[in-house]
Amino acid sequence: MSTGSPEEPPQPRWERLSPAREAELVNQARLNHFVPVREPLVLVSQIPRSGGTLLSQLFDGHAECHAHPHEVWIGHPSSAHWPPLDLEKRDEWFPILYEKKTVKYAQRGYRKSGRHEVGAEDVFPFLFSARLQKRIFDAAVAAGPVRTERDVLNAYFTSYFNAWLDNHNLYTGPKRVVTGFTPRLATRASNVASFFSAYPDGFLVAIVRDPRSWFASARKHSERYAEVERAIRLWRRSAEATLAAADRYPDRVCVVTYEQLVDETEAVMSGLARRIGIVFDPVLVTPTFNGRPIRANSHHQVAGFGVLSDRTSMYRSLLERETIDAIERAAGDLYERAEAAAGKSRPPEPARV
Amino acid sequence: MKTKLPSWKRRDEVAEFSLLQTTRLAHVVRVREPLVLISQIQRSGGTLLSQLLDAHPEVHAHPAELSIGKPKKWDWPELDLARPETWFALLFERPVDRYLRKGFLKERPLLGQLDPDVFPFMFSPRIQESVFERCVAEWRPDTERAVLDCYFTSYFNAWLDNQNLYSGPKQAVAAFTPRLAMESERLGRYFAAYPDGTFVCIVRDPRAWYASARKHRADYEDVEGAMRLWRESAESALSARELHGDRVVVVTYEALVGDTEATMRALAERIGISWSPTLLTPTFNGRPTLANSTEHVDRRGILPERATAYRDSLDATVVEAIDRAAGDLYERAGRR
Repeated sequence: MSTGSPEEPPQPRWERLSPAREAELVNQARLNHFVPVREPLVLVSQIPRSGGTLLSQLFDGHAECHAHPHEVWIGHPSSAHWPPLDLEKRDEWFPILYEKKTVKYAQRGYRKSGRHEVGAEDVFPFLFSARLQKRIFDAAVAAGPVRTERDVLNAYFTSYFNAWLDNHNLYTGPKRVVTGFTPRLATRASNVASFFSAYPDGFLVAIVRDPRSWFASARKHSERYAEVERAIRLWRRSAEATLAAADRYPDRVCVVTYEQLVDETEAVMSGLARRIGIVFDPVLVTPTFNGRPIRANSHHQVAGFGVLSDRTSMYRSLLERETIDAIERAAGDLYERAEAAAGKSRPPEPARV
Repeated sequence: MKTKLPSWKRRDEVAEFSLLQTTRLAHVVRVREPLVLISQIQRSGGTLLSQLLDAHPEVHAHPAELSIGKPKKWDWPELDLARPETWFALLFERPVDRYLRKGFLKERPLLGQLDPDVFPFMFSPRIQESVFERCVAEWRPDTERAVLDCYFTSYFNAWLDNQNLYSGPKQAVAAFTPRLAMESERLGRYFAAYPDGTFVCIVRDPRAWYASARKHRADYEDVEGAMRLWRESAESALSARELHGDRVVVVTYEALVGDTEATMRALAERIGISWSPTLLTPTFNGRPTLANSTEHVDRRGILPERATAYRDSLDATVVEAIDRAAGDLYERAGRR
């Protein structure tokens, strides 16, 4: 028995709690203090290999953003579909929205799958508790009221960002937006309409990449983009959907070209920041994962960190002349229109006093 | 037929917790930077200064009072380098258990405001122990400093919702513990472990200090006894400055709250961190805090009026007695 004498120190605290009890105390600490996430969603979406990951990682370290750290997988039945939430079927909400890939990231760490060589510095810890997420979701729903799809999505994002235990950007703020990237979702008008129905205060940011440089990257990414004609047809579908959305929701859709994003990162991010209502901060020009610099998700050699502007012209050494000509004939006009739309999307610089 | 569990239920709580531990162990952030130790008599602004350093990306800022000292937190820990099995038990900070259960709160009775801030503190003593053991096994520490590096690595990595673990590169660990520097022997042992460390001592105008301290503890109510302790703290700060030169920074509380930016800029330069606006706002784990004051607090941030509030609360005779007993020393402390 402990006598409490100086010679015999009391039983150490770390041995008094069972692992289950300690786990519960950690969970309770978060449950008792979870941060509500109700800000409008800034959704980055277009065809893959256009810079969506880069853009989402540029938002990552911003104190006014809850930045979703990987692709948003709330779509159902696939991530390319806006989730159909039936407000009468409460039990379905979490299973529909739950992002299964978080388990993989929690087990193996986060890394983008595209890169050939992965060093230790390219694998990021991701401390996430799926059980805790469900408990926080239930608590947020119970705190209610849940009357709209947006309320359900707010409960979901609250559960996601709070169950991400080593999220370095949870407590800073005040938050203005949630940012997230999901490829393809915005290539369907119905998805875009559903998004704005849930988030009338949200923004869709669509990146259009020069089809030549896009093809050079995309053909290595997926079989589906291996053949030029088919690939450019898909690229056109994405670019046309972007331009249609920009026409329909001019105040809520921001068009950005990949080339502007990497060549004039500060100017583009400054313009985007003004559009979505966050202050410009130098963190917006460095891609990070949970606050740590991250290398580009490129299929080609990446030596350092930061934005890689050489990717915009690399296609010249990767594609044959005939392929470039074919792409220009098939999509050059549309890319020019996208460039014009991107120019219109960028709000004017504020007047200097 | 067996029903497949939804993927969020496939691991039970203990298995999930074990995965957290494995992940943290696989990605331990090494904490080997020099310690910036803030210490002086209580009610002098140590908590405030430590909270001003809290969110700086180049600092691993210990969020509460440093309690590695035993038997009192202001003792420097007696590490026996020949007995590694005793190290963790000796250094482990028992208050983390309370913070984990109840959240972090500066002593409730002290707070003048009705609705004090309680901050979540997600900390796993088990993860801390496993990180410490891993560091000891890998680094094979043979100096007191190396053991302390293992300890601080274990502490900051076991603090799961630490908002400042991954940013950097780090230049310093910052921590506050009252009274440690009031004995030169203890301070000498700190510098023996951290020859590259910086000791920061805050000296508060004895009149303002007394007005605050007498509400803090009954021990401080007697003016004469309180001034003896205040002098002891101030004299030890000035002696340390003479003895250790550039490694000691003496700051007055009045400069800290009256001209925060200039004071923090000078301090940042001394401890080798870049200027950041975060140095102007007291925070706990990145969140603005209410002052740990004995008076009513109605807003977050620095409260410069505390520097002169004693004029309303102390009798002129008490003020005169304090001026006689300690005024000279305060003037010396204020000189650079």
